Amino acid sequence: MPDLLTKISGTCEVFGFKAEVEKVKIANPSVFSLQPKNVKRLKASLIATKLSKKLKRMEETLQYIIGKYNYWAAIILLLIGLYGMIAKNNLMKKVIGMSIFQAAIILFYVSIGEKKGATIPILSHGHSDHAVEHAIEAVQYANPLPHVLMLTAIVVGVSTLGVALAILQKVYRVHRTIEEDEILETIDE
Amino acid sequence: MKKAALLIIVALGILLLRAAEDLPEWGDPNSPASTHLSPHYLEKSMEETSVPNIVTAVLADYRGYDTMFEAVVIFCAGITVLTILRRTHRQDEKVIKPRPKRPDADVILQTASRLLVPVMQIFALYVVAHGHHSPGGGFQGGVILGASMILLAISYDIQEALDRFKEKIVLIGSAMGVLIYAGIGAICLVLGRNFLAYAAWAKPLGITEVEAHSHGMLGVEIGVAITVLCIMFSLYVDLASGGDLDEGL
Repeated sequence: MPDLLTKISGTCEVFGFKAEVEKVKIANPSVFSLQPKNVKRLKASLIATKLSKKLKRMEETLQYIIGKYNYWAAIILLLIGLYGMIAKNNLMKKVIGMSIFQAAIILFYVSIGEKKGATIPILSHGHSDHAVEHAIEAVQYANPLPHVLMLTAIVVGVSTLGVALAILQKVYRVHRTIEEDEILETIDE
Repeated sequence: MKKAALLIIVALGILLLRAAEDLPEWGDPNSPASTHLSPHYLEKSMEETSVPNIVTAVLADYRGYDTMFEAVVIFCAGITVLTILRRTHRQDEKVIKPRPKRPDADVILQTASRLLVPVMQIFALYVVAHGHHSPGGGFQGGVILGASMILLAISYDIQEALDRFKEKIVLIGSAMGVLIYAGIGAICLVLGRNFLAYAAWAKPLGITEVEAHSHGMLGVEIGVAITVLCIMFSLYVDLASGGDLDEGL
């Protein structure tokens, strides 16, 4: 009888549930006899606890996917842009990748400024004479700071795009192509 | 190359997705980004600057220095494109082939854009002038103004648009916008306050210091709008004509 018990607790240790077995042992010392059906029941309860833990972990993962899908979208866009910038041979496609990368950053920042149930950060009582008397609660308005930063980032994005396109035209004039490998060949000659 | 890129992307993706677990949930009002500085902006900007559009208040007042150099950045971009592309005499074949002339086909397009352009420009002026009370501001209004000029250049041709808005004026305007912005800040220095501390304007304008913030913001927004208008138009005509400014798309 004792070696059967250690056997169970040993098996359970593999899954990391040794504590549960010991608890059962102490709680019902007189009732608990190691009949095969009891052992089966014990195993079933062990599997149940394991399943519930698995379910909990799944719930956490689901919560992560649903509650933070804005980050997922931004990260995926960012990776697409980065892949385009690294892997594409055509310089124009690299510029497009850069633009996608910028869009990802902008989306990321704007989504950080979002608050559930909040409106745009423009005070609605701003035009009346008693404007200052209205209590302004920060929870009611979206965070203005990311909007400001991204407003200027969009302008910088347009500027870099313009400069990139100008450089591309110049490259085409000199090398008659904007494919990277062909440019390298003409440089070698 | 492609395999190495894919490897980097996957590694970076796993790293970023793991890191995203620690970021606050979407729309969480208690996230770190929304609890330190932004409540001050939201609650105090009305009494400090008398501007209800908090985005504009932060852009042109609290972070005015940042925005000034943002205007300098687009000015530099315009100058860079000009330096790279602009040619006075055609040296070789054009990069972008000009569209074949179709004198009859453009009547609808030209009429529509002739009606649209003035409306766009008036709306842009409203966006600039009303930018601190409703959505808008210098960057947005400047882009709409630039778009109206680009629409003119697309629907007629670049020469037609350049006759109305000469390159010399474009270049002077783009520098002038930055100068207006920096000048408003510099006059604050002359009046005995910090650079871009608009409260200094209260005395010469005869208004309270809080209202002076609002007026100072309007001034710098106008400067930004002029720069953005000129640079957008300059970028378009240089890129579309390959630097020749003769005919474009």
